[in-house]
Amino acid sequence: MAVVKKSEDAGRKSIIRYRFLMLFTLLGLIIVLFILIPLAKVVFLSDKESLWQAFIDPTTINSILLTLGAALITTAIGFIFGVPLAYMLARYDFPLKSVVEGLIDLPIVVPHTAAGIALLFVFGRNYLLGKWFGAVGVQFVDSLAGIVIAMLFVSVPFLIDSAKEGFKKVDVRLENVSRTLGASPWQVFYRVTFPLAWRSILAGNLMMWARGISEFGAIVILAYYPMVTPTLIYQRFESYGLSKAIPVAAILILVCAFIFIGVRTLLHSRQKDD
Amino acid sequence: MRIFVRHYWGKMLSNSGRIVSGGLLLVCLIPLFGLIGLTACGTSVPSSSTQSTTGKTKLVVFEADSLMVPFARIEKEFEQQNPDIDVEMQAHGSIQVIRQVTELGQDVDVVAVADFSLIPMLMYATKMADGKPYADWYIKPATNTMVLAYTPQSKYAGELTADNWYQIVSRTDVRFGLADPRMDAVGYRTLMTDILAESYYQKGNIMRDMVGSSFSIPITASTQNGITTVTVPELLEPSNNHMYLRGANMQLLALLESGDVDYTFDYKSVVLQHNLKYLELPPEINLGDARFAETYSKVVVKLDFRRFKTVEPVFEGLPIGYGLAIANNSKHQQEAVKFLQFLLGPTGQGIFKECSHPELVPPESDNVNALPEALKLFFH
Repeated sequence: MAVVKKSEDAGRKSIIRYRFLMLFTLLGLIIVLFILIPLAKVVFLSDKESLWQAFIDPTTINSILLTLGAALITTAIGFIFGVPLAYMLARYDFPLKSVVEGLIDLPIVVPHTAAGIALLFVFGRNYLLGKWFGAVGVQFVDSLAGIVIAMLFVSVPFLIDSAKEGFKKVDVRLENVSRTLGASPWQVFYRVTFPLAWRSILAGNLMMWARGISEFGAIVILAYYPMVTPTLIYQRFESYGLSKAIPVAAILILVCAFIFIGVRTLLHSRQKDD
Repeated sequence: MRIFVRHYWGKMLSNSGRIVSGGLLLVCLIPLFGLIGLTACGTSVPSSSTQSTTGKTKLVVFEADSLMVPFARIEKEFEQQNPDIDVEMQAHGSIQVIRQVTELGQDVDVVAVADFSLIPMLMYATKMADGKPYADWYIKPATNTMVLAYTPQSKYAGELTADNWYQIVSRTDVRFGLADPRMDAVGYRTLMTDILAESYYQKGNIMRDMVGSSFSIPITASTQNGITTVTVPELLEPSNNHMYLRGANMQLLALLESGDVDYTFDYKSVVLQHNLKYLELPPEINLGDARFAETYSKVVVKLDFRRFKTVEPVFEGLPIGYGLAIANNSKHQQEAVKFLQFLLGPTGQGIFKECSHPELVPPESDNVNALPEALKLFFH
């Protein structure tokens, strides 16, 4: 009797579990489709011929390489300056900390045209940083440097936030133990904290890189040329219409899908190895 | 509908978990099917929201960038006088304003562009699903004048005069901002002013030295039977530190104000609205004086590629005239007429004057007979 009841209980539990999974799968599926369908539409909207034409067009390829490369440089700069800040924010309390945290998230909400204009009035050739960099031959209007600072401004919050969360998850006691065993603060960071937080940092880097690739509003103020892919899509749309803009968008989506899925797969398999 | 929804949710919340999950399932499936249904249609279904959330009638106005300042004030005043209408404005380059209607299928009620000739070129020539054109009349409410905009910090600003401006602006160490002539009326009008300057000052190659040769594939000009045709290549990439190209002139104003561009051409009204310095150009070349229409007609700007599905993109030299039209597919014809009445009436005129934007008094139209009755009054 008791055995039967137990199996009934188990049965009910498995039904509830099943419903729970069903519901969550369904809700998740809807959002996946919500993302997938528009992207797939862009890819399939243009016929193979115009897709191929856009693919062999050196303008498209150059702009995609420029965009990916500029975003990579941006991410490297963000890594150098952002990760230490993220560590400080995760580990220490200091005056005005919440002000700093709020400030870091601001570029996400500032309209990007406004961000571009703000950068122009700091890095423009008549303004402080513009003058300094100009003295060593770096100009920000219509140049790679301009693209990079525009990308950096709008994307670095993603890296800092993600790295901060990663550092928070690392147990402080591990760091303390390392310290008592004679490791220097630098060794602790390099040997203990960073390796334990690296996945969040890498995910943050990926987000930052992705955000950089997609930036248009701030870049177009500073640098129309060299032409990043979002500007190229805008320019193709403005001067020829959708039929010429969509293949370029499709190729960018395909290239990014390839890279993102690749990196995620790598992250995933490493996770299993750990 | 609202009652039904409340009832539905109430039931779901009060009943057992089974109904909750069942109900949620249903709620989730509805948008899912909606999504599939939408994408299956191929073309997007245009939204037919005649009422905004506040219960007012929504009137969508797309205007040229250079009308932004007066139109923002007209919107405010018009809404005060017509509390039942909610005006929604969007500013783009003039060509974009029209293409949003004819190519992207946006529900736009009123278009206002910086070049009236774009309306016949793009709206008359493009047919709606029922075979009718997108518009069959336009009104010319305002004009403008091309000026050379600069700031006190612009290079050689101290030496600039009405006689040497074209030499100064052409110098290789001067940064010149050009609105993309493929997208912005200011851009192709800049080329026209340069060509007109060549005959006015009796100096060849002003266009080439200031603009044309600064691109990897140059913008060229050739004269036949007294008409100079400027040809803009398909690929327009600046090849030196003299040329700064932007999609819209509004973006160049930011560069001008920051000092990253020394000179750019723009409309006088825009320059005054932004409190920039400017050099007035002779009426023979500034495209702002109808008495010189004959002179202006000696220049044509051609884009060296087929850009629009149906139209050869050729811009003829004309005195600058803005263009207003009500889209034939507008669902708010009455409100749109009201808006144009307001714009052409004393309050609208007053606002244009206060914004330093020269109106055309009286306004002109190419097809007075086709105008809505209420608008015909302005043309007697």
